[in-house]
Formats: sequence, structure tokens, C-alpha cells
Amino acid sequence: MANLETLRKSAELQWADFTSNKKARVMVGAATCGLAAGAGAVIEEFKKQLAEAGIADKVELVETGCIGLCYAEPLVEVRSEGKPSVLYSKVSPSDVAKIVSEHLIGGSPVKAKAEAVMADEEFEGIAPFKNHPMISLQKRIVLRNCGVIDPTSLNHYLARGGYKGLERAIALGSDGIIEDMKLSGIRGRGGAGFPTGVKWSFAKASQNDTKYLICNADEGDPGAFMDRAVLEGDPHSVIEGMIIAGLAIGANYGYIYVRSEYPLAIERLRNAIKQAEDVGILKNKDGFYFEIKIKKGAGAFVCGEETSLMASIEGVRAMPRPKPPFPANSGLFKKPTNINNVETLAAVSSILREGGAEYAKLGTEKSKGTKTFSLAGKISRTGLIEVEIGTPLRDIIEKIGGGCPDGKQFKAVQAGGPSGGCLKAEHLDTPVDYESLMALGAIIGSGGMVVMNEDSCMVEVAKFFLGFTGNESCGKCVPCRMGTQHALAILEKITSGKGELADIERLEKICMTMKQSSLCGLGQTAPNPILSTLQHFKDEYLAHINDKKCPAKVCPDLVIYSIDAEKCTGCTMCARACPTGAAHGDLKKPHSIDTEKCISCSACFQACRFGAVSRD
Amino acid sequence: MEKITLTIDGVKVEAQKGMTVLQAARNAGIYIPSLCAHKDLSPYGACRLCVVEIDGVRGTPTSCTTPASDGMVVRTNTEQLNVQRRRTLELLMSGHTSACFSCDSREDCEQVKPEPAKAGVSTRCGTCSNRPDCTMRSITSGITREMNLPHLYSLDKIERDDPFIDRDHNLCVLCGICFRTCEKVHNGKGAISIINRGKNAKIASAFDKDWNFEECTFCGACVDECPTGSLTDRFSKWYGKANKLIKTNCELCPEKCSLNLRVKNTRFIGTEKLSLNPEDAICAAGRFAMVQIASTAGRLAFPYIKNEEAEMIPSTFAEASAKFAEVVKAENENILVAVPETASNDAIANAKAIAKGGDFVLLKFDAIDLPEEIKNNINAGKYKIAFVGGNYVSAELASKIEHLAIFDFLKSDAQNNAEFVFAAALFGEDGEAIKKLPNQQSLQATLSEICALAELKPVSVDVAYAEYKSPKLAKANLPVAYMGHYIADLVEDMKAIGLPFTKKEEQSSAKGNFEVLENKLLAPNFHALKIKAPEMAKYAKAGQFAILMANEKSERSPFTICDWNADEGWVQFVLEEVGRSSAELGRLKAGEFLANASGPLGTPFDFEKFKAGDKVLLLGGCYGIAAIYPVARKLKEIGAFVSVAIEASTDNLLFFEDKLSSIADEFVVKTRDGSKGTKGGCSDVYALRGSEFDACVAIGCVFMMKQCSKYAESTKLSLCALNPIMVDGTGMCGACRVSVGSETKFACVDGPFFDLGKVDFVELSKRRTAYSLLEIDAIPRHLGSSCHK
Repeated sequence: MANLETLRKSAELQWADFTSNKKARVMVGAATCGLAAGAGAVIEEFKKQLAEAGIADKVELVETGCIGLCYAEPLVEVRSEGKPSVLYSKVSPSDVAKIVSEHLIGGSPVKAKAEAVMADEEFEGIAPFKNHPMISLQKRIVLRNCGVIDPTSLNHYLARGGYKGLERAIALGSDGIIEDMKLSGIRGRGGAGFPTGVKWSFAKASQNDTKYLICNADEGDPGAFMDRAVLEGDPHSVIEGMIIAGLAIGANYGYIYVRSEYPLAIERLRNAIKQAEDVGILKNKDGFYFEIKIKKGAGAFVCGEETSLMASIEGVRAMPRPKPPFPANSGLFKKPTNINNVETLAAVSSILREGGAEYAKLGTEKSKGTKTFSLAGKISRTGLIEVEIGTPLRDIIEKIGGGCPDGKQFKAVQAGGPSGGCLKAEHLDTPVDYESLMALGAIIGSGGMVVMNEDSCMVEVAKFFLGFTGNESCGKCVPCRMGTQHALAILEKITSGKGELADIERLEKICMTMKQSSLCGLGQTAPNPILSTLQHFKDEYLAHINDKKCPAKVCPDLVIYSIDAEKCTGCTMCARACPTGAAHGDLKKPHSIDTEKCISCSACFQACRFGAVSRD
Repeated sequence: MEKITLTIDGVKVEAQKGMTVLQAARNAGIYIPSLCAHKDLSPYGACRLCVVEIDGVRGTPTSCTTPASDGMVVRTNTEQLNVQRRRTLELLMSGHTSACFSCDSREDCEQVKPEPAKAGVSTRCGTCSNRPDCTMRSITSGITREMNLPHLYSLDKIERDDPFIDRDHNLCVLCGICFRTCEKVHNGKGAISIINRGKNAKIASAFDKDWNFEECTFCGACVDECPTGSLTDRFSKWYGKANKLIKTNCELCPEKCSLNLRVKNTRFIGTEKLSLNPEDAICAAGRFAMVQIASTAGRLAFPYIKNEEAEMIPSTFAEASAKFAEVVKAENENILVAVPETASNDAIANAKAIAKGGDFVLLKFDAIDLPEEIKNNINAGKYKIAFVGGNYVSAELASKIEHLAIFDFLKSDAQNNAEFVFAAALFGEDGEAIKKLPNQQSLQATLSEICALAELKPVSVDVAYAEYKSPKLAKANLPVAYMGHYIADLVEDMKAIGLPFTKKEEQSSAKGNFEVLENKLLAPNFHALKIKAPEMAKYAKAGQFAILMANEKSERSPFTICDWNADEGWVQFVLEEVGRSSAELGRLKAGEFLANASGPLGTPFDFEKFKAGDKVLLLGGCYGIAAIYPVARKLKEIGAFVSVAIEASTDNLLFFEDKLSSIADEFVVKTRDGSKGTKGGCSDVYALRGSEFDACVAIGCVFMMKQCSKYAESTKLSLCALNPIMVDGTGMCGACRVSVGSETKFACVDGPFFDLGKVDFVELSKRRTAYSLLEIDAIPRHLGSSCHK
């Protein structure tokens, strides 16, 4: 590792070259989110257009990670020679020709597609990226490199201060690292929020010739994708964090347990590990030896639970086992083991680089630093953000996320995924920190935020999450396996209009039993979506039970669709959208819905452009 | 061992360091309910029943997983814990066929029905082989009998794709004891585990393969430890739990594993490993074959001696051994003694002595033949006297020895050419605990008796076993033969795991005369069997029955004719699987034939007593639901007001609801667990509303009718239909005799309908269960996958 300085010097040169605008460049966000939105086709189209225009050798085409503006994917940064980069949003292959001819050849950006300019100053009337509404309130520490560097380049990482944290950590030594971590006040970002420094001190104290350090990258909450973005966009930050953690606790072996649904993350990690090994950062025989293996998960939510995860690495069925013994004493292969989440480890590299005290300046008294959140659901700007802990929920939802689209009324946000709870409009001014959310029956969890609006039925939301946890329950302990099934059955009964008042009490009893008696976190927290919706939206339950109505008009059994003959123009759109032939009628004559055939799928409702389809 | 002290429920308790809180409590005689904790397995923490409160520990940790520490203060019995346990137990039991658990009449029912019905699927305690000794019940009894949650089991079929184990997932609560046992016995490499997640989680092999797969050695440990009855030994499950264990050595191969013989009263019902340690594991032959070998039909019961007319005459052990000893005394050379190497040292020493100056042969444990050299000697007429300790000589060879004694447990052709045949007592049968016939003796006892009578001294021999591989935890090395018999000839299921057997020509059984038109599963274990029987259909009347036989070896069993059509020439029966014959009927497919169906039998229901406007209450339970159908239909035709109540243990055992509700003026459903209709039984309806009716007809199990009989006086007329054991169904055999008032009646000709209030149900119940042990014996050993999947 002696050559790190030398490496960094040449890396800085390369980075300066990369960031200077000497050469024209097209940079496409090609993380999973971008690819899903069609970035692959956009890249192909750029290749084709650049070649046709005969400028392929003059324009660099680069893939990068996710910058977090998922709603605007595919995102493309384009810069012509000597000019600042312009960020284009929602680029489709058909836009490419125009961008190439007007911007790359003509030199003037396509303003209609421009989202921001990647410079400090305004450029051609395009506002700078730092002022972008989704960005301006963010404090990016973990995500600082995502979408900025080429994630396959070790040099880019080095040039941006990469592995400086490790250098400082080596200088500090094991105790020093742990002290610095305690000073930073960072708490585990995987969900439980246990102080990381304290956790490391346990693992350090445990005596054994072999210890393990595991990075938990089994991100499984529906609507959560923070870890994926970090792994895909800045894999070295996680590796650096792991080496530091290994150094602190005295572990020479690390595992990254990553879900196999993240193939790109795995590819980027493999590449990064190889790079780090090649330069002697990993498998360093002269200094601190640390090696990392990647273990692909088999796709079970319960593998996010640390003892199940270890069982899965060991090659046996992933089922949680009781604690004690705690992993710090007897974990993977019965050796002392420390498990941290991706985000925590990515933050570790920054904390050690800048110093724990610096990190502790951010956040609230009890919750330090920043936290990433993924915004999903009925929100204008879905995406990945990182804010200082303690930022009011309103800033996240309304300012950063842009509120609900189409002028719909915000109803609630599910914080913390299937283990979390919901927060409603009156909680919008709550500072988002561990304690405040806990007090309201929600959690920060791993950082998933699913926004619901007036069209969301909260009973249906609870049912969705229970369906998820019920399917993902490993089946080992009784309260979780049976409780989720019974709770789901009752919720199904309620949403199908067969509920009775006593069902609420039954639900509460089952939920309490699950909370008190389940073996692991999955079962203990699985009832949270029910308890939380019952706490904040009991009126919706009562409407389903007493009035046999779904206020949000979502539950098919409780909604009747009809067509207002006065408004209907006979355009046949509804009949064409209807999958069962319930909506029918002759052209230019009012249509009607056969309730016998109707399955309340709402296809007609969405298809009608005249507001003629009503539901009750 | 370091001692620690902790306080449990206010009592200072001493324990050893390293114990869990549960162990410490048990050690001190403090009961904490628990299901998944097992004394020989590491803590698992799945059932969540053993929760406790510990000072300084958050929440309610499970005592089975929490190490006890010095000074710990534990509470095991607080209101909070009891509520938690009760609710967890309700959740647990909702996944187990627990309808009987919450039934208020359970104890009364079990007095009337002391044995569970030997049905295909365990639908409730009444059809569960674990009923007599159920862990689930003993745990439940201490917590709650209130089950307020709907059940979540589906009454799936039993999985029977392997040769020995019945797997009934409807009983499984995933306590994990089976697969943890498997892992322990197989040194951490278990063959089974939980597969799938959530509600689909179940105990299975990897990828849910057939259990007759490589990794499973059929050591049977999982079956022995299963507390719920979901994994059972197909052969011996209905015998129940052993009340005596006798430690002995297996004699199927030179490994001579120590194992326990499971004995119930004086009957050998199975074997099991001594402990869960891998070195105590036993093989499939030791675990599943030994008892079946001992139970082989046609065992020799006593010795035979050939008389002057060359007839084999039954004899006694004393006579046979004395006579053979006389023969031995007279000869010094030309004697052959051949015994298997697995015989005891004493047996071998005696055998060697008897051989005197002749040939003594120690046969390989799995030999089925004598060595070539010896056979040549026999053919050359070398031996005047021979003692062969098993089925090793052919009839032809046997004829070439003047004084041949064959020791065996089964009859064989060779024995006809022998002079003496000794009846073998096998395994532990010569001990005190297992009942054997007085003239059956073990090889050792036989040889030492002969030796003593012939005034010979045992000659000790060092036995050097021919090369063999231990079958322990290795299915490939299973012994293939025992005492000259292929094990698979004796235990047919052994064929499935690849053991050799003697090929026999299949005997085609004669085709029956009654074609099955349809066999529909109405509910688990309940079949609607429609057969072609034009004559029967022509004469059938409501209330009559027929005696059916699935094949010529089936028992003759009576079944109510519940529907018929004279024009189309068919009759229909609803039968419940409760044992061998009903199971055989239940397995018949459309297009197959019944061996016999005789009927209509019995006195038809007397509709003369009813007129239009009469109010009649019809009560049907289980199979009785079908039996009341023809009566209800006819009463409706007459113009009576028909009120029907039906009952079953649980909702998915109900059937004919549509059929009955469409003809009844009033229709009530009762279930014992409250899963449909209201909780309770038909007798509750009778008790509550009997006085509104002119007549009542109750048909169901003995218990249901007995319960109803309490209210017989509330209606002017009350009838029941009885179902005692019958043989001929025509009043000749007397098996079906029942006491009605002071009279003795024959149910087959005088019945089936009798005065509900006058029947002696206690006597009826006793007579019905008189043959229960024989009924278990009759259950076919080989319920292979083809017929019962």
C-alpha cells in the first residue's frame, strides 16, 4: 500500500482530465434505475449518432452511477468542448439525434430537455445543479460520488479522496478508529440504529484467531434502493469502509452478502475488489491483510436479519437463531462477527477521512450525520436522496420530493418499509430522526419512504405489507408464521367487505403476540404497518367494516363502477380498456358497465377522458 | 461443574453453569411449557411457549435459549406471560388439526371411542395415531383449550412416497425437532429441513424430492422424535407408544448395533435407536425391518417331527430337541452344523460342539445358500446328521440328509424333507418382556438345549467376520438377507430401497362382479362410492344397507345405501376410512370392480309411522350425514316438516350440505371447533329444540348417538341406526348383537333402526372395539405409493 500516494497523484491527473471541459463528453446514468428507464437504448443511440456524425473519436461516452433523480431517468450529461456539462432528463433515443446535432455539434444545449447545468453558475439560462429543488436541500456524504464518478474507475475514487480514510485509520490504530467512530455518533443505517462504534468495540473485545466482518447488502424492503445505488455508483467507498472496520475489530476476512437481484452491483463490486487487490489495498501481505468475498443471496427477505444472513453464508437454510450468543461473540462459522449495512460502511470511509468530530456536527443531538432515503410511491420526484438527520419531513416530501403529483392530496408516507409505520399530513413538521419517528410508531429503518395520496387505501397498504412479510416469513417461529397468515386473512376479510368490528380487536391481539413473541426482527416488526395504520387511519378500517365502503375507492369488492350517460361520449375507450367485457356500448352512444362481469380493476376509470366513469 | 444460583418465581434454585433457564427450571421441578426444546438438541427457540420474564432483560425472552446466570431473577408465571402463551398457542394450534382440542365433549367422546379410527388422513384427534400419547395435548392442557382462531390447515393428503414413513403435514407445527434430530444423527449433514417460506413452509427433502432419496438413510430418528404425529412409522403407528423398551443387539448384520426393542404390553411393536448420537444410529433394516420380520405372517409356531409315514407332525420343543439330541449322541463324524455368523457367541459355541468331528460352517450373515463345497458334500451323501440354522438348504438337498434339523421362523418346502423343524424365536422374543409361543425358541436356546441333552460341552470359537461394510448411516450397505431369507421377501417395502428379492409370479386375483362407476372424495377420508348393482337398486329402500368387500380378502363391512337409481341400476354408499377394508374400498377407482356387494339388507325405515305435517328432526354426524339423506328425502315426499342438523369436527369434514339443505325445511350446521355454523354437536340442537318435534332420527358415530340418547324422551319417537361389527348380515353369526332395553337384537336383521333411548351404547362401543389390536395387524404392511398417494 506504500504506493497509494503515487497512485493518487496519477489518479488526480486523470480526474482533472475527466472533469476539465477540454473534451466533449456524453455521460449516461447507467445504474439499474437508469437502465430500467431505457438508458441502454440511449447509449446505443448515442454510439450510432456519434458515429454517423463522424465525431465518435472526439466525444467521450461514459457510463456513470445514479445521481438520485430517478423520476428523471434516463439522465444524460452532455458537454461540448470548453463548455459546462448540461444534465438532460428523461432522454429517449429519439432525443439523441437532436442533442448530438444541436448541442455537441452546434454547441447550444437543447433547453427543453435540460434539467440543470453541472456548474456553479447559470449557463445559457439553465440553472445550476446545486440549485435543483431535489438537490439543494441535500447533504451528500454517502452519495457524494454517486453519479459523479465513473464507478468502474479506482482512479476517480482515489482522486476524490478515496482511501484517505483508510490511511488515517491505519495511523489511528484499532482503538483510535473505534474512538473516532464513537465520536462521530453514527448509528447503524440498516434499521436498528445501534451505535456503530459501540458495536465495533464488542467485536474487538471478543478474542479469537479468526473474526469476520460482513457487509449486509441484502436490501429487501419494497421501495428501498439506497444500498444498490451506493454499490453501483461508488463501490470502493464500501470496500474502504469494510477494511477500516476490519482493522478496528481485528478481522481479516470480509463478506459482502448481496442480493442476487442486484447483478450490476455485484459486477461493480467484483471489479472494484479486483482493482483494490491489484494495487494491494486488499490482500495486502505487507501491512493489514484483508480479503473480501462476495456471497450472492438467494432472495429471501429474512436474510437481511443478521443471524439468518450468517446461516445463508454458511450454506444452510436462512433462519434466524436466538441471541445470545450475539454475533460479536459467536457469529459466522461460530467466530466473532460484525455486521454492518452498506450505507454505514460507506459513511465510515468519509467519517475516517474527515474525522468523527466533523461528522458529529451534522444531525441532531442523538442522531448524528446524514441519512439516505429512497422516495417512492405517489411523489413527484421519486429518487434517492441524502439529508442531514433532523430535516423536517415536510422538506423531504414537499421540497425535495415535490409533493404528490397531479395536485392530489398527500395522505401518508410509509417510513421504514414493511417493518415501519406510516406518518400522516399532520406529522409533516416532525424532524426525521430515530427518536421522533419511533414516537409516532414509524421508524427510519433502512430509509425507504413510500408516499401515499388520497387514492391510497390504508387498509390495502397494510394488507400489501402483511402479504409481503407473510410470504417472506421463514416459517421458523410460530407467532410470525401463523400471525402473518391470520392477520392477512383478517385484512382480506375487511377489504372484501366481510369484516366485523371484532376483527379490529383480533388484529390487535395477533399483532401484539407477534411483536412480543416473535423470534427475530421480521416477525416483531411485521405487524407495524397494521398497528400504525390502525393508530392513524382507524376511520378507514371502520368505513370498510361498518359502511362497507373503501374511502379511497381501491378495494375492488367495495367499489361499484358506473358510467354517467350524460358525460359519456361513446368514444369506446372504456370498452377497449375493459379486460372482462363489462364496459360495453356502441360507438357514439353512452356506454354502460355490466356489474356482474366487472372486477373493479379501474381500467375504464383510468381510460375515460371525460370523467364519465364514476366509482362509489 | 460450576454451580450457580438463580431465583425462579421467588424460589432460590441451584443450577449448573451452562444450563439454559429452561433447564434450570426443569431441574428444580418448575414447569415451563415448551414444545420445540429437546433435551438432546441445541436450543432452537421456535415455539415461543417457554417465554419468561427476567430482571434486567428487555421483553420476554425464551427460557430455552437464554443461558442461566448467577443471581438471575426469573418469573415464569405472570399474567402477561400467560396471555402471551395462550395467544401463541392459539396461533400454533390453528395450524394443527386440533378440532378436538377445543371440543367440550372430548373426554366423554374418548371414553366411548377409546381407540382412534385408523384413517388415511388425521383430521382430528379421533383419527390421529398420536392420540393416546400426544405431546400437543399435554402442553395445551396447561395453557388453554380455547381456540379462537380459524384453522389454517388444509387437510392435505398424507405424503407416502417413501417406503416407511407417513408424512402428514396437517399435524406439523414446524417445531423443527425432526430435522434437527436428522442433523445430529447424521453428523451435521441432515437429509431433511424446512423448505419454502411463510405458509408454504414444510418439512421436506431438498427441492421436495421423494424421501426415498440418497441422503435419507431411513434411520427413523425423525419419526421417533416427532411430537405431533406428522411423521409416523407406517407399520407401527397405530400400535401407539411403547410402554417398555428393551435394550438388545440387532442380529441382521455383524455390526450388531445396540438398539431398543419397543414393546407394548407383551408385543414387539418396533425398534429405535438408543440415543441421538451418530454412533447409536441404526440402519433402515434395524429400524423398520426387524419388527416386520418378526411380524411376518405364517411364522412357525411349534417344532415338527417327521413320523414313520413321512408326515410332519407338530411337536413340542422338549420332544424335538430330545429326539434330535438322541440322534446326535449316536454319531461322531458325518455331522454338519451350519449357523449364521451373527448368532450369539454361546450359540456358536454350542453349534461347534454339536458338529463334533464333522463340519461346522459359519455362514456369512447375508448368505441365502450353503457354500458350494458343503453342497457338494451333501450331494455326495457325506452327512448323516445336519443342523441348519436358517433357510439355507433347498428341498432337494434336504432330501439327501438322513437326519436333518432345520431351524427357521417360516415354513419352507425344504422342511418337508427334513426330520426335525425347530420354530425360531427371533430378536428379543426369548426374553421375559416379549410374548412368544411356548414352543418357539431362539437359536441359542435351541442349540444349548440340544448340546446339554447330547451331553456335549460348548467349544468356544473366535468369530472372524467375513468382510462387510457397516450399514450405519449408509443405505448402500444394508444387509440383504436374514437366516437365509431375503429381507425384501419378508418386508416388501425394502424392495423400494433396492434390496434383492425372490421374484414371484404375480397371482392375478379374480375380477369382482360389481363395477365402480364413481368414487368421489367428499371430505378427507370420506368417499362417495357409486357401484353398478341393478338388482340391489331395484329392491333398495331407505334405511337399508349392503355388505361390501373390495377384494376377496377384505373384511365384510356394512354400509348404508344412501342413494340409488333402479332405472340406471346403480347404488351409492358414503364410506369413511377407518381401517383396512374401508380404506381398500376408498381406493377403488371408477372402472375397477368390488369383489362383492350383498344387499339390500336390514329392515327398511318404517315410514308408515309418519304422516304429512309431522315435525321430524334428523340428526347426522360424520358418515351419518349421508345416511340420513334417503330418510330425509322420503319424509319430505310424505309431506313431513323436515329439520336437519349435521355435525362434524371441523368445517372441511362436512359434506352433502347442498343436497340436504335443498330438501330440508330447516338446516343447521354444527362443528366441534366452531369453524362453521355454531360450535357444538347435534345433541345440542336436540336438547334445545327436541320438544318442538314429533320424532327424531339420529345417525352418526356411537358417541354422537349416545349423546343424543340423553334427550330421547323429548320426542314421542326417537330412533337411531346402529353400526356394530357384522359378518354375514343375515342374522346367522350374531356378531352384530346389541342390547335394546331388556332385549337382545341383531342389528343386521332387526335393525339398523332401534329406539334411541333404549340402546346400550356402552356395550355397543365395547363390542365395536373388541378387535382393535387385530384391526391394526390387518392394516396392510405395504401401503405403497401406487395405491395411496
